[in-house]
Amino acid sequence: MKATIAAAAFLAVAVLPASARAEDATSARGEVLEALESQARLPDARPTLPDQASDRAREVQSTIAFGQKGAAERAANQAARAAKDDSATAAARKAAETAAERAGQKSQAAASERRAEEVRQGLPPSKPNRGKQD
Amino acid sequence: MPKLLTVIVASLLASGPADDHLLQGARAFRAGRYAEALVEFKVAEKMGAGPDARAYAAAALVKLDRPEEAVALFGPKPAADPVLEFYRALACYQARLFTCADKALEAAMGRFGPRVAEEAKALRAQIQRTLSGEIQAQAVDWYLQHGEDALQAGQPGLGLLYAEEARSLGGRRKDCHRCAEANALQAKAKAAAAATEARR
Repeated sequence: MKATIAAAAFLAVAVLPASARAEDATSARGEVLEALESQARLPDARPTLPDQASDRAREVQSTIAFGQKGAAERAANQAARAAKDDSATAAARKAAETAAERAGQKSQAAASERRAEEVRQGLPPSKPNRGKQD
Repeated sequence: MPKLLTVIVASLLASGPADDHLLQGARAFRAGRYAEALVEFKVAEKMGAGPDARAYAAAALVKLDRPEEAVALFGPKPAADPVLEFYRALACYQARLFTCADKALEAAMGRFGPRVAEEAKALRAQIQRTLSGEIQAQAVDWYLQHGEDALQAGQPGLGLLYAEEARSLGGRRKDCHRCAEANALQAKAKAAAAATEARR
């Protein structure tokens, strides 16, 4: 009888917990995969094929015009000024985009675009919406 | 005796500490706290959660917009789970490794759940659009340079992927721009990757 109880206890310790542990590990991984799946979406930024020459040009342009850590706000002003000249419109937009990317401020980038567009249309550029959500 | 048995059974039934970190990481990831998730997954890996935890950490790096680190952490082999493979494709895509991303998605296409399948389809369409234009020689040069840089930095896996991208894009041009150099870089990166693997 004692031997039977001991054998049952051994089985309980050796076999059942092992499967329970395996289940726990599986459920932890399952939780992680579910979390990953819930956040699986495309990034907002769409990378393009690199172009060494233009990458370098953008770098130089950004460094000269806005400094190494140029912010989108300054880019917007620069873009707006450049936008007065029609021929510079594309360059202005590119400058705004580049600096906005560097600043990592999507909302500011949108504002930059908007202000540049306003200037192109002959309207006074709207003021930055500091501290407020769009 | 019964008390002792209870203690042993309870301790064995308790989930391991690595799993606790995985669960913490999952909660943080779901809540969009990716830096926190990254730390939890890395701790879980160190505590023995295995290569899965490394892939989860790589997914967190994707979300933190650190694609090159993510690509290196995922490693060269396809992930077993399709969700992880989607994140590996995203890492490649964000690192401008378009061919790598497309291959990963193509291989896992039938295994995604419905929502991820939609995202994967959209991503493949974006990749096709990106690669549909004429491939500039400067683009190939850029990939070769990045491959060399990665090799110099001791990241042969990443170097290999850049070399493969350079070869693939160069091959789309009529002049097969710098294809021989891309082949040579691939061979160099493969040898370096094998040497790194052997040291582990």
